[in-house]
Amino acid sequence: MGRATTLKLVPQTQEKHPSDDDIKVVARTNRDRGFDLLVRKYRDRIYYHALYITKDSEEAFDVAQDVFVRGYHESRLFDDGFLTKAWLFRVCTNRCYNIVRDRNRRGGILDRLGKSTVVLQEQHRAIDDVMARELTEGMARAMEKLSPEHRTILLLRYFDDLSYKEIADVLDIKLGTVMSRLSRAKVRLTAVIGEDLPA
Amino acid sequence: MNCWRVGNLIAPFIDGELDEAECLAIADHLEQCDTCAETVEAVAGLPDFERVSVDPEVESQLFEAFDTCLAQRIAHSLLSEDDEELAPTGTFGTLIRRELKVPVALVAAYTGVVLLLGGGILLNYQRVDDLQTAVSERDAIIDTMRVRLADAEAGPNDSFLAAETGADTPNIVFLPAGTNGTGLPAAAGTTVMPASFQLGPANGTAWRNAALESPRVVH
Ligand SMILES: [Zn+2]
Repeated sequence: MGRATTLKLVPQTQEKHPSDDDIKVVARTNRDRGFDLLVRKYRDRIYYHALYITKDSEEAFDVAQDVFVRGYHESRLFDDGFLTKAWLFRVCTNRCYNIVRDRNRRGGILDRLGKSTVVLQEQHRAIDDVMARELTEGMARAMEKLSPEHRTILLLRYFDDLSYKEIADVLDIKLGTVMSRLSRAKVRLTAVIGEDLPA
Repeated sequence: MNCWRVGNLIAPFIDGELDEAECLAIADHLEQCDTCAETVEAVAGLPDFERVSVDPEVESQLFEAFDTCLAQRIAHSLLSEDDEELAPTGTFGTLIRRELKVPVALVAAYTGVVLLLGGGILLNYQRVDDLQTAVSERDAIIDTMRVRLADAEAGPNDSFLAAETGADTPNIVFLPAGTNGTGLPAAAGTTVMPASFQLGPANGTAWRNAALESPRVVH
């Protein structure tokens, strides 16, 4: 996988997706169709968000699936005024941190025994390899040295491309807190990258 | 604008999320404060955040499987919540256990309500006790009065007074009305569990059909 070392910029999906409001309009007459559009629009963003927190493709896949299963059962999902995107990222973020916390509690040992995804194993391994390599260098490596709080907000803003307002909704904090936390996180990041540079 | 405030606004300042007045205030401060100016410069010079570059083929395989797996999971979440035999193992099993957390929480909430009701019942019992005490005291007073009356008039009215102030009087005062409340947990349990079924769509929808028709990817 020679191409694995080249990096892509954030807007990965060239695919044009309908707006969340348009999806809600569709869902009003056909909920399954609306749900389908929602999954196609957000599945990769949710998966990658989870991947960057869990650092484990299979777990990220599992979390992303779980987010949408919950979404399917969420009766307000397509309601007017329901913050669908923020809801998806919030559920995803919380799930991921639960997983990371449980993993730390078990002393860092990944619980693989309960899983038996056969077909996708090769794909998961390929992605884990790229991920592991990336974590040893540059921005990803620096991000690892930040607190989870700082890492999450940077991820939501500059990786998931969420607006300040959306981040406030995801993390359930005030807009002013988003601004200050984001600022402090970026200042911290410059410091960490500075430390990382060979003297 | 002071250094601390600038430090809290660097990100929105660089991202263009501040209004003009705030931008001008920060710009003013940066002209006078080298420390903040350096910090802002460093933050603005941060490299772009990049997404891990996955082989497009691997990625498309992953997301093709994503929809199939999701359809299966949704189908399972609709079908197997109250059916242990159908409950799948592995990742699905984990999922369903997670799904069950909501009813468990609700049952816990109902248990709490029942406990509160139980507390209320106990309070009622306490009140009945108090009333019984009060009635006994009243009886004692009546007894005393009766003795005094008998002493004064020496009338043979013992049987009449004894019947009116008998020991069984307190027992008919209040029956604890809440005793039927103990039926609540069972009722709560049965109504809570199938809630997600009601949220799900009618039979034969696209996601369910996709799940039932597609080959199994995850076992
Ligand atoms: Zn300053």
